[in-house]
Amino acid sequence: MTILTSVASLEIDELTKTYGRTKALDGVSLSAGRGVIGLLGPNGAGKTTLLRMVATVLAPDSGSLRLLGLDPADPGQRIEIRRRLGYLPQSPGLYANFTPFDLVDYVAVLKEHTDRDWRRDETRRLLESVGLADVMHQKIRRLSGGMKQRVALAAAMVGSPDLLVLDEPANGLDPDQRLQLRSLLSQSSTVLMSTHNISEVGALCQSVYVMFSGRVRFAGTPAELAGLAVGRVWEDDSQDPRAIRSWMTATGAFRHLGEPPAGAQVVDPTLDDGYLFLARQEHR
Amino acid sequence: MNPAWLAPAWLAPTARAVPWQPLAGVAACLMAVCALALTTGSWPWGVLDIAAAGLAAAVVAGLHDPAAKLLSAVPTSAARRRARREAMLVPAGVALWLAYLSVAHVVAPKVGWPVGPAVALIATGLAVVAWAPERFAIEAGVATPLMWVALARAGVVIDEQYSQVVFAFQHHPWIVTAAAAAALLMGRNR
Repeated sequence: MTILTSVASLEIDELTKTYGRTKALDGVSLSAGRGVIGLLGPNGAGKTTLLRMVATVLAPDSGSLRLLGLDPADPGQRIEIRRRLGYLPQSPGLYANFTPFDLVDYVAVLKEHTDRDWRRDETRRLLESVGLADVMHQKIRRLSGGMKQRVALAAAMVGSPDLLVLDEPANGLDPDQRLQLRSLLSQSSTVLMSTHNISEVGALCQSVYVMFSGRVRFAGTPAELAGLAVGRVWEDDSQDPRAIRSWMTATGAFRHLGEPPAGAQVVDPTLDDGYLFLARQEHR
Repeated sequence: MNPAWLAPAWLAPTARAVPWQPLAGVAACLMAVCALALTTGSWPWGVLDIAAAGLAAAVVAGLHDPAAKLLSAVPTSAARRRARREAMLVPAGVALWLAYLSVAHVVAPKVGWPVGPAVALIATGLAVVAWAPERFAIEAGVATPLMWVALARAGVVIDEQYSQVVFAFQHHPWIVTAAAAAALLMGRNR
């Protein structure tokens, strides 16, 4: 399944990757232009493997990949891609004895930004944009988990990359920081991000891919994902054993997912409902 | 984009990013050995190869990079970043070894200047890091000089050929160093 949006920054065709007997990616294809692309799926679905390939960190066993019109398999083009790419891995390590300012500045050096004044301005701008202006000169070892995550995010965004690859960027962020993240990402050009937070996808992403067992099982807009559960969500006052999933909502009513019984009060599905329905189909 | 231009910018943060603690720990141990030797007036001959192995392991341990994942997609390759660390760690390790030997000379002039075995062990550890799978490269590199010296110390000699290999870092240190340096260069872009 493929979504085409304007000029593709990302063109992925039939990627495969195997670790021992495990097929981490099994013929994944996707294409995307500007905008935020969400990647959903359970743990072990292959999201991180795919993101590492898009970040040029991991080579596929087979299939082709073009990023920003360039081929990462070619060493020269890979370096050019890396100049225009930002990558936030899952649980990134940081230098505890650095300050956020030092770390982001160092990343800018490694991204070949030679102008010291430019680096300092960029570092300050990024740390302010992630809300770390007050602690930019404190040692990283003294920062909270959420602050460290934002330092790493700032480091990934050095030089306003054309392609931003983020592996669970909202990890450890509080609700206010999540909103800040949304605002930051909505200003970026092409963002591919994995997340377990479905509401993040609904709020931010123009398109969404859902992966299970190394394959893309859904590609579409968040509204289309929610639409998968149209007519399959109903509410009533008690738990319904016929439902494939049931849970109590904040109002005290029970929300059910599955084939509604006759006369059930069918309600509009959310993105969570669509995802859960897809996951249920997958596990059948 | 001139690397010479970049040198002042990467030098200080790279030096700060290197974990110097293992080398500092080995330096403290070597200082303790020296202090003991100066006090007693006799040199502990038996610890020379162990000291060399510890030093080599500490130099290799300095390549550990906690931010490697975050930096994995920057245009400055991991090999280049590692080479920069090596350019700091190896001279520091060799300088420490020379300082150790110079104290040894005061107590026991017969020690000579056995720089070769230490350099061979360091080079071998670094070569292993360049070729071992990324997920345990540093651990393998750290273990190599320690294991090698442990094998030699254990006196495991099955035959003449085996003995040549086990004691190669002592008997032919510069050949070992040259081979390890070649392996290091060939493995730098892996």
